[in-house]
Amino acid sequence: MLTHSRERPSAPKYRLDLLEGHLGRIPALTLWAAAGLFACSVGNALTRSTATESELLYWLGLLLIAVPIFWRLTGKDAGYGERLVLIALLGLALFGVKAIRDSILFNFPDEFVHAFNAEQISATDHLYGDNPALPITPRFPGLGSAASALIELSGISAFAAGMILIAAARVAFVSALFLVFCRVGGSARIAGIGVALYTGASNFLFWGAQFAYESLALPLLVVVLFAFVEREAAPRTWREGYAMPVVLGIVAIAVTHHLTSYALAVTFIALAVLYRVLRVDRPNPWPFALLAVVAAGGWLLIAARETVDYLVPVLTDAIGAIFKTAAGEDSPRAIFQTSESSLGVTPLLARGVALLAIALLLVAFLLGTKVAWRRFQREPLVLLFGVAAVGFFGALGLRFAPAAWETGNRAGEFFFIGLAFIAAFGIVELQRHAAPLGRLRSRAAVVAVMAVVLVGGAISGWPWDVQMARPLRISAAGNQISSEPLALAEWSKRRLDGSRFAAPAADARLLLQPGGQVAFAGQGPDIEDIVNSTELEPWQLPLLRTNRLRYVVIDRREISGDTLRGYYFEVPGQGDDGLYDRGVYEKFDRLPAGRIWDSGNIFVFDLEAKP
Amino acid sequence: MTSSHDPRLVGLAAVVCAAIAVAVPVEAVRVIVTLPLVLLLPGYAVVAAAFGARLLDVPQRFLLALACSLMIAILGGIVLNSMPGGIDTLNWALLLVAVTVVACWIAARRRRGRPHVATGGEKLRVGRGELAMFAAAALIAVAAIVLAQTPFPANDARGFTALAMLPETEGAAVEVDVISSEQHSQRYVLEVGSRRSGRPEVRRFALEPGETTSVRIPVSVDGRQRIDAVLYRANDPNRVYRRVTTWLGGSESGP
Repeated sequence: MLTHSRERPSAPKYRLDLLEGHLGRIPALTLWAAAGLFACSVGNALTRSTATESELLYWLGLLLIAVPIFWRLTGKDAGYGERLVLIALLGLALFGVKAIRDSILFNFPDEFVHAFNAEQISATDHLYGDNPALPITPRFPGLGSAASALIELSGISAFAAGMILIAAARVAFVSALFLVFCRVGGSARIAGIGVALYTGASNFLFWGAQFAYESLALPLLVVVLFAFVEREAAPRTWREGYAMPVVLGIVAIAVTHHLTSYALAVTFIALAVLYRVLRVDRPNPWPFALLAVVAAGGWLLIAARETVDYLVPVLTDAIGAIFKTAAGEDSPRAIFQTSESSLGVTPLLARGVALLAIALLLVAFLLGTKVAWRRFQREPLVLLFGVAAVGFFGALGLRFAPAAWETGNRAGEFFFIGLAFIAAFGIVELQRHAAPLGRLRSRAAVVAVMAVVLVGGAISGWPWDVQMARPLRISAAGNQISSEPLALAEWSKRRLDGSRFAAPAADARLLLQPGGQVAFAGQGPDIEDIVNSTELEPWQLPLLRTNRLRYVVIDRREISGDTLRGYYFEVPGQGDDGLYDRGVYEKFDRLPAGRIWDSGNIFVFDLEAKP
Repeated sequence: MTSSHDPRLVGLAAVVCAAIAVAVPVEAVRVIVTLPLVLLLPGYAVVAAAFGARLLDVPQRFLLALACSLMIAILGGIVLNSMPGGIDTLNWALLLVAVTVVACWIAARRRRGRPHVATGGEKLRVGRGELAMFAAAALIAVAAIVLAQTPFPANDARGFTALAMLPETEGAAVEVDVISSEQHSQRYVLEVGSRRSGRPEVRRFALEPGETTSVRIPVSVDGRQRIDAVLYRANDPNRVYRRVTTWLGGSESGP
């Protein structure tokens, strides 16, 4: 039996034969998970075909994937190996839910951006190109670099490479999280429950599964934590081995995602301080803290100074928004409401489930804190988990301040790691308290709690009306037809070669990828006002010229500025089918400029086609 | 004597995978060899080098192999960016093979003369029923993916037709594209011409949903002139359905 000689008390003993000779419930639960995935796929096919707007099959599919696994994880029969495999299955199957929603093209706002970067690397054989949508992203080339390895060596598309990469990262994420919880908590059962709870983090199902740099960096952060805790528990002669992935991971994260690298640095600094204060009888991790600071800070100075201009306004706006909302100067944001739109209003029942999930997490946290404090009050990482758990509930408050919502949402996925660990103890406590109900009923009760957390997290993490697929490419008379903005992107890919566009946000995303054009949108430069206004202001043409934006896309669909909803076919009665006044495109018709595309709602003007 | 944990096998596997990825033009084959080459082998070798004769248990070995391979892929691009040739197929293959082979060599040296500290365990027993469940699960998952990638009719979705026109970069002609994303077949009338040239070129055609027709229309150019393309639906010939314009010939006037 292979063990670490200087292990913490009650650390699990690992065996080389992971599954101890048998598969347990793995085959059956794999079948359930596949069935659940199929149900989600059927649900998405029905919404894509506009046959229904019902999400029932989708939610049933989600529960079919998760609940049987939750049941097994809350029991005592499964071995360590089986729990680990089930966690990996859960993580991969839930990634599959996102993948089958968007299995034709990327649909998420940031995915277009990163796919464009990956394609630019392949086209130019170099990093650090320009990205008109999110200029900071090429400065953190880790994701693009890894994707280009797959693209160059296999010939697959950026879409396929992105899916494979994030699936691999997802498997690494949940596996590493399980192993961290296992090592620190001393129980594979607690670890499995903890990771299962983490799937209820609001960004886990969709946001964290998109092809974006944080989706690669956050899993690597957890892997670094795993290597760190194993190093702690290992005999001295093993420590150099574990130091390698810690060091490699710190550097890799620094070049992949800004916030994750700063979070990692803060984590190691906090651990170093706690080790000192608590006089922990293990080597202080200050060298890792120093490396993390040097790596993150060094990359910022060497390659990514724009990060400051990118992040500081977001953070200062968030802080300002908190104070203004608290002081009553700004109205609080309605939770479950997306920006100013009336779209995506979450039904009352769904809101109830999401709020219930938070309440249950709070209960689990309070119960878990009692247990965790008793057992781990001198364990720095567990204390940090506790602080993170408190931070999660604090970050929820940010959701009420309009400009701080995103900051709170993104911080939540880091803090939830700590909450999941602490709450796992609470779930076990809940099960113990419910024991008078009977063994099966008490187990069913906690599984129900975990299911509510999963569904509640999914509800809070993504607008209700776009949880499921919408028609992007459909079949008509046996042929495929594309939505209006997608058709423009496909045409531009065939006919234009990396041309520069000004466009509404959703059109711009599709023009980036799959269109392969350089498309600007938003307010930096101020394209938004150009494409939405009915009058041509004196500053507009000079701005387009200065930025060398030859082509201007005018999209009458009001939804074209919405990077979650603006890509699809118009379905009368579904969503926002309002149109801007004709003036938005007639102002360009009055110019001596060419109009090179007309698809009814979308027009493209060529400012260089003139007399 | 080699064992299944012999790092030399890993190095050899990397060389073979890289050679196939570079040399074989069949995408499916390249995908099969690229996945281990990018996502497993370099990390496995590096972990083996780091731990020497100490053999990690299966979950740790697999996790670290996967994660370290991702880290190497992340950092590898930054290294290649400064190399001659940059980030291309050959350089990626060379880099990943080099990292794997060097790490395997280090691992082999560190293990020399020191047997693995590894214990055997129970042989995994997989029954027919369990195999059947895995097979069924795989089939269902594949069906889910195929379903997800299949476009279905969406009768409520509003179709459209797109008209596009670009001047040829040289010469006096325009390329006109008519793209049908309608739900049913449509008949169209296309008129292309300039005011100066008199009668426009007229084309009549029908398009099925998803069909595109591309027409090259030479235009007799006498100085710079505006070219208009107008599309009508055959069943509504008096209403302009789509309209595009461009300019051809001569040189642009003014700033």
